[in-house]
Amino acid sequence: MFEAAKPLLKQLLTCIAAIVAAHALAFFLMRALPSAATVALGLQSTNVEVVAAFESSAPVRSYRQTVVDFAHLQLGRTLDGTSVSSELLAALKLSLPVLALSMLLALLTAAIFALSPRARAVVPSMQFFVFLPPFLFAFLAGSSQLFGNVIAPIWLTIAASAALACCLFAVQAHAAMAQELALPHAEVMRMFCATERDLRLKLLPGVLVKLAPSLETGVSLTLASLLFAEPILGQAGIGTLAARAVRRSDVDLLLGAVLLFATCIAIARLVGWGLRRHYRLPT
Amino acid sequence: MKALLVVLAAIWLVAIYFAGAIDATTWHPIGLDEYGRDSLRALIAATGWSVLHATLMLGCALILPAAVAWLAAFRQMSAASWLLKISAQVIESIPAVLLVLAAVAAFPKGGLLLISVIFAVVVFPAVGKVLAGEFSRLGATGYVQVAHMQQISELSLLRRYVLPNAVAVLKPLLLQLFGSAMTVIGAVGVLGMSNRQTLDLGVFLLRGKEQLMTRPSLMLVTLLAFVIVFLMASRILRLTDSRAALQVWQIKDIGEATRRLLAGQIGIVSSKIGLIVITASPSGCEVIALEKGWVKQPIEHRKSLGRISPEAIEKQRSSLQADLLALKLPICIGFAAENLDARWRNWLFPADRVWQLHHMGAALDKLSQEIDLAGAILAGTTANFSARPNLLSAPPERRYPAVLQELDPGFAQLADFYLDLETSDVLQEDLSVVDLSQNPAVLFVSGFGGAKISEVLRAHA
Repeated sequence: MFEAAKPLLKQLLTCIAAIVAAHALAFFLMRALPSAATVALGLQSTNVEVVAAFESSAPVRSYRQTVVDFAHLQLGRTLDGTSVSSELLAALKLSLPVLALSMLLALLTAAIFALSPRARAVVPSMQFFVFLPPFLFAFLAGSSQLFGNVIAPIWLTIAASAALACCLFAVQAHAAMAQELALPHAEVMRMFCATERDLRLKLLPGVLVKLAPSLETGVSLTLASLLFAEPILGQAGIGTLAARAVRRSDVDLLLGAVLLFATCIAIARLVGWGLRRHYRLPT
Repeated sequence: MKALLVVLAAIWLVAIYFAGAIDATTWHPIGLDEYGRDSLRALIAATGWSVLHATLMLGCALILPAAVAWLAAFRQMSAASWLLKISAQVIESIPAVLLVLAAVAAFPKGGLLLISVIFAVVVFPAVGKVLAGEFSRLGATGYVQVAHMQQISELSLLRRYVLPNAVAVLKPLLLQLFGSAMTVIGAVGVLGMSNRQTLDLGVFLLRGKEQLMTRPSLMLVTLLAFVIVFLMASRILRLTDSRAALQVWQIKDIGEATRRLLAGQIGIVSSKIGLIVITASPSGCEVIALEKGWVKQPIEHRKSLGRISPEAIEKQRSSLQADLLALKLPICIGFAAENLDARWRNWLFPADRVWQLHHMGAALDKLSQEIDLAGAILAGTTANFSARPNLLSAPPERRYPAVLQELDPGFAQLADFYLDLETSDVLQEDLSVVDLSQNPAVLFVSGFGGAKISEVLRAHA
């Protein structure tokens, strides 16, 4: 039993270690941030007494203290004095559906590109789009306001967040389908008079499974896109929260956002690993 | 490289010019910004600066991963491998752009240098993994191992053996890195973390969004500028790719191919007949080489040759003759470095004078640029250019040393045969005496000795 669960346990521990290390990396980077007092107090920050009073009300935590608090699921307080955990949970509640729908949209695009032989004409464009900055799609979606509010901002956010992952998955699915179609079992199916459409439909599950290694990259791209799409399109969520934390040098909030992002990516990594293992793909 | 420097210098000059001329005009196609500057000129200048900044960041981002990948792949340094693995787990757990933005927030006055350094750290695992994989793949190839054993300097090995063959992987990686650098530069402006007067595409996007309803042209033109920059970047990569410059035609009819060759529409004709590949070019050289896969492993192909019936060989010979007659071009044959056993190759050509270029386009490109023909070996996939002049000018005892005769008694005979070969007639007559099953190691190339052969032929005519 233990032997069977050993690889999963190892992978799980690796993911946890990666999250903790990412948190530590972000922490030590944040320590270099300008003092929160400077940001929060503005011109008042030159007044020593005011700064001392501010720092006594919001003391700076050491890394050890941060880790201990983290173990007790206490992520500290924002510059506004609210709990980081509650802020993150509220933002996650808003962004999780967007993230899930974006990934679904990306998988749907992959399926379309795998199924349609005509998609080949669009693949070079998709390869080009993957290199574009994620915020371009958000601005492009935002430009649709020129024609009135035809599409609800939430759908624009989903589209802008999913754009890069869609392009990535589409290109990969198309290539994977081309590989599958060249394999002997596809030839055999052709000999049994399978139509091109039937053939592609039968090969589709195998093609989608081949995207498992890219799941982590897809989630990472979607999160990076959310970081811009939400603030640009005026939507609340983890993207807006992270952007706010960066702008205001809000250490605890930024650490919390990093933790959340790292956890999402680690989960995607774990799911990708599980899929690869389940389908006997190289891990 | 030169082309890239020229392009960057041009962009720099354009950026300087437009930055200086922002206020010096009365024509404002997309209006003025809130500081009274002409928006179009400011946008052009911003595009130029953003591209230059991204290119600088690109350069910084490549140095560290390349060094670590080299240590991991060629020096087999386990610490470097571990560094790549651990950094991939940790740094890739956070969206790169978030880390860079946090660093920019940490050091608001750090400027471009800080962004470049953080960017290099953030992309380190992704770039390092790709480079290490490619270096490992190339490091395992026979020619790199032989060169390594001959104690060629690592810089030469990298420059002549590894990097030219990693181009197929490096170029998309460069484009991807350029995209990431532009993302980071833009993101700083987009999230309002830089001065609003800064000439930066991200700031323009932010202002475009703010003025979307009153002045939509600003947003649209900025988006267009981004797309143009990326299109130009991918176009430049394609233009500098000698592989792309080699345009391949697939013409089944050898007569038609010859007609186009003579008309100057195509530069090289390559024809494969069974195991033999013929390549012809207007310079008068014809290349005959055994197909790469067949000659790669001498022991194996000897076995496979053993299985080929004499009738099959005769049939191929006839086909070859037919093609040669159809081409009506002089023939020159030399030694294909790649087709030779490594021991022979290393005797014939000092490894530190050799370039290993596995693509015909890259090989031709390099040949035309800088290679000393007498010392060049360009091993292509279908054709090889070798240094026939080297052999011809070498003293006889250096041509066929005892060691070669020990390795294969047929070698000297075969080498003599090809070195003395002057015309296609001789080839056609004497090809019948070459027993391929006994002398499988070589059919060969030629290259630029071809021009010389043309002269000989013309003299005979």
